[in-house]
Amino acid sequence: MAALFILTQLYAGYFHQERARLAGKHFSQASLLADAGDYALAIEQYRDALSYDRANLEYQLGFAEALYDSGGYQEAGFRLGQLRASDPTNAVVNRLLALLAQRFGRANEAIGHYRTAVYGRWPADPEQNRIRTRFELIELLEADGRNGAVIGELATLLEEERPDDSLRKLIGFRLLEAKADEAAERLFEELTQTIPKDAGVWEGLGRARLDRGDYRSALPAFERSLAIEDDEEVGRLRALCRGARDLDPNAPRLGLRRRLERSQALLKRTFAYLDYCVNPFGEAFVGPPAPGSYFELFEAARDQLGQRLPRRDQEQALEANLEMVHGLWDYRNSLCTNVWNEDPALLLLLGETAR
Amino acid sequence: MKPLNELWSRLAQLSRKGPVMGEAQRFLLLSIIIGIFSGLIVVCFHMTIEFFNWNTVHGAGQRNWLVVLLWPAAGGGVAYLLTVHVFPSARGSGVNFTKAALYASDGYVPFNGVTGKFIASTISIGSGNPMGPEDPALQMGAGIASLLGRMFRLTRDNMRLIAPVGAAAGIGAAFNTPITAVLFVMEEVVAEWSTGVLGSIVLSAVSAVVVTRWFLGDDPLYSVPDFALSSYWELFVYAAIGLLGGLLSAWFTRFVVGMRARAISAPTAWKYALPVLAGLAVGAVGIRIPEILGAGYEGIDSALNDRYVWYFLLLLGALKMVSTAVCFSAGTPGGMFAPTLFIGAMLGGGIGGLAHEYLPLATSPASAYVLVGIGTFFAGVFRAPMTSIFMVFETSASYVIILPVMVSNTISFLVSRQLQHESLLQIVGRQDGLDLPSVEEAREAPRLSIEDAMRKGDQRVLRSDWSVSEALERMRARGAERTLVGAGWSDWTWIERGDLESTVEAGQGAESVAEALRPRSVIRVYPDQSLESALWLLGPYPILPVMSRVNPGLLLGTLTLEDVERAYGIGQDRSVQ
Repeated sequence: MAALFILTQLYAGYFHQERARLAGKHFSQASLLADAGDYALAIEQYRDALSYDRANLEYQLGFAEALYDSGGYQEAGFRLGQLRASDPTNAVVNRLLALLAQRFGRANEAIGHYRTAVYGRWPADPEQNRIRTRFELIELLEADGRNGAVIGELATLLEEERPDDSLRKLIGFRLLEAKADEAAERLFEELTQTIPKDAGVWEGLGRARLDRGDYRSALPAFERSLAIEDDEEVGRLRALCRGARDLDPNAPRLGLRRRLERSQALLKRTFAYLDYCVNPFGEAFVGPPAPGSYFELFEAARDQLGQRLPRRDQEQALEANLEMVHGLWDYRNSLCTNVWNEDPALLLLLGETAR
Repeated sequence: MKPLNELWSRLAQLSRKGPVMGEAQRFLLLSIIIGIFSGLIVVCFHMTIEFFNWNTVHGAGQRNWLVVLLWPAAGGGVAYLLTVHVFPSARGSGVNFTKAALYASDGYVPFNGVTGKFIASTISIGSGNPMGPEDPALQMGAGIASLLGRMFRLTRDNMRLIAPVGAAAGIGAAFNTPITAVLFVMEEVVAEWSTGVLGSIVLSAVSAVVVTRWFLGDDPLYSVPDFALSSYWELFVYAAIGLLGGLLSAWFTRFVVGMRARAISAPTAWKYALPVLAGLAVGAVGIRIPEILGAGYEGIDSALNDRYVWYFLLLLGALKMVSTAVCFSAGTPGGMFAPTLFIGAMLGGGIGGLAHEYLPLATSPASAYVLVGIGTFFAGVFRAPMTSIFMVFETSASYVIILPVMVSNTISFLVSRQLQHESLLQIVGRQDGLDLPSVEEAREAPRLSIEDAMRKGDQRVLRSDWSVSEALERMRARGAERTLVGAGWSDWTWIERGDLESTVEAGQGAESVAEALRPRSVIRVYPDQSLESALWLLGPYPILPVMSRVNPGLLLGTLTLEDVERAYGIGQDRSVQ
């Protein structure tokens, strides 16, 4: 019995060695073909490799990836399901399962797989893979309208992965997209200290401030960005900030007369804006029914503009103008439902003052 | 071999002389040794088939059409020649060989068959013929067990049982499933078994599986996906799989038997040509559809992973059915277990896929139906429903699957049995000149119990406080030769009329039966016991009290040899047609 056992042991050793050699040969060819994008042939080679060594997780995973990449989602799903059963914390498997679930519209399942993948075991380059997976998860959450979860993921990403500056910049823009303006502003402020010569960082800071309605502090950020690198979009944002600044009666270092002039100009722009909403194409157009109080306020404002005031009453007039502007602006939501005149500077300014 | 034989003889002598080990213990120990040896041989068998396969139609060879076309034919032809001219004991079914050893040849399985099955099946299966390695492995296990039993000079009764013990080891090692192995041997080979036999079969199967897993790892035959029964309505689909499996397995049995009968009666030259032609046909199909080549476990694996669409699954099942039938009939060495699993898997997957596409109630993926279908065809062909159920259960390790598998396999078994009364192996055995008993028939043969033969009531009972004269008078009046004597209707003895007569002649007629006669003890029997078991007792005890099991003091009746003869119809006037 001992002799037979030893002989079988030797034979089995040779058998496993030969099996591993043949399987490895096919796996190498399969990997090369998959890298070259020839998935059909790669799949054949993967199948051959697995026919020699069915239990090899690396081969199974390569095969499942090739199936996924070639569009064989059904079989890929089954193979991945098996892999997950045998190795539940394998991050690659979970990521592919997440992609599959996402593809078939099963968002909750995909999110679960992504989270397992993020905290799972990556066979190679774990940091980069984790970050990439987190971003895929964030995109899924964004597409699924889960803004709070997006912000949470971005915060966790900042906290746990210790990303470099370029990645932090990317996270900052993602935060902006998720309307986490304050968090984005803080992040960009930090980045302006570490990479001050990066135009994107200044742009991000400007955008974060602008989104918060603070065009005054956004303007220097945009200007700084443009000084480093010219950009049409940033130029447009700077023009917007300048437009708001030129219209702002409360801008610093303005005399009373200048402030009054601006308040009058602001009132006119508000008239024009709302008038367009009520009657955009002249007399024939029947706009949305405006309440009587609006017309009263409208007439009062027009009267106000027509008055020539002595200097001592100018400050009072300034306050009255601004009050009327805000009074009229309150009607915007009810009047400007179907058509409205584009006036971003006005919107920016009144949005800020309303805040 | 000679030194090895001497060693075994010495070991056997030692074990016989040893004061600590009786025959039963030696049998158990031998079962473990058989399991280890069978496991080692089956591991080598498995690896050799793989090696052969890798160098012929597998992998790169699979993409060379000439290789695929010619290898099965060459392999089938050579393997057939070997079984005809070198290893005649390697022909036919391993299950039948084992049964023949159990019922007809006192446990003798020629070792020539082990060598022959190893070499011929390696060539035939390794070269791509659509046969399975399990039946050859089973015969190898039985052959090894028989050899070891002869070396250990077991008693005749134990020698008879040693072949099934080896068969369990062989099949356990081949399938890597110990429960399936034990159940198959119990269901298909050994009709009646005792606890000792069961223990030996379990020990040998377990030790063989341990050896297999030691060398080949504990991976199952195929990778099974998670199974879930999505809706109980799906049981109807599983029932349909069972129904079709039963119909097709009955048809398959008739087809194989018919083809085989023709092949057996064919001229000698044709007999040599048939395996080659069958191999060519298999190769021709295998060029386009390589899944049908070999045992087919890779095909099952792929089907389980949803690689194929339902109509391709049905096509694969049909092709495998025909190709296996053709090769088996032509005499190509190899077993039918793996092919039946393949056919069942494809059939299940095909019907499941079809249902999945057209029926709203079938929501499980096709792979679930593949998994359930695996044992369906097997249950119908081999008439081993329990084995088929546990095989799927054991390989899938899923408890949820048991319900659909039970539904499907039982229906298949019942339908197949209804349409085809004899199992494939039974008919094949008869074609090979072996008229072996069917375990299924033996299990279901009508049995008489004591209840059917006993005389109810207490007509044959005397009280021990009666006088001897009174007792003799009553016995004479009844015309009874012997009777039971009861003391308080709980302690039973028996006496013969002659005892009473001699006591009366001795002038003790006035004494009570209890005082005058020495009581003879009897053994109680119960109405549910078999009449055969009572026959053993009726030798030393000519009359037996039949007692109630629930009320131990209650006498239900009596049983004598005459009652048994009457129940069996012995001595009655009858004419044989």
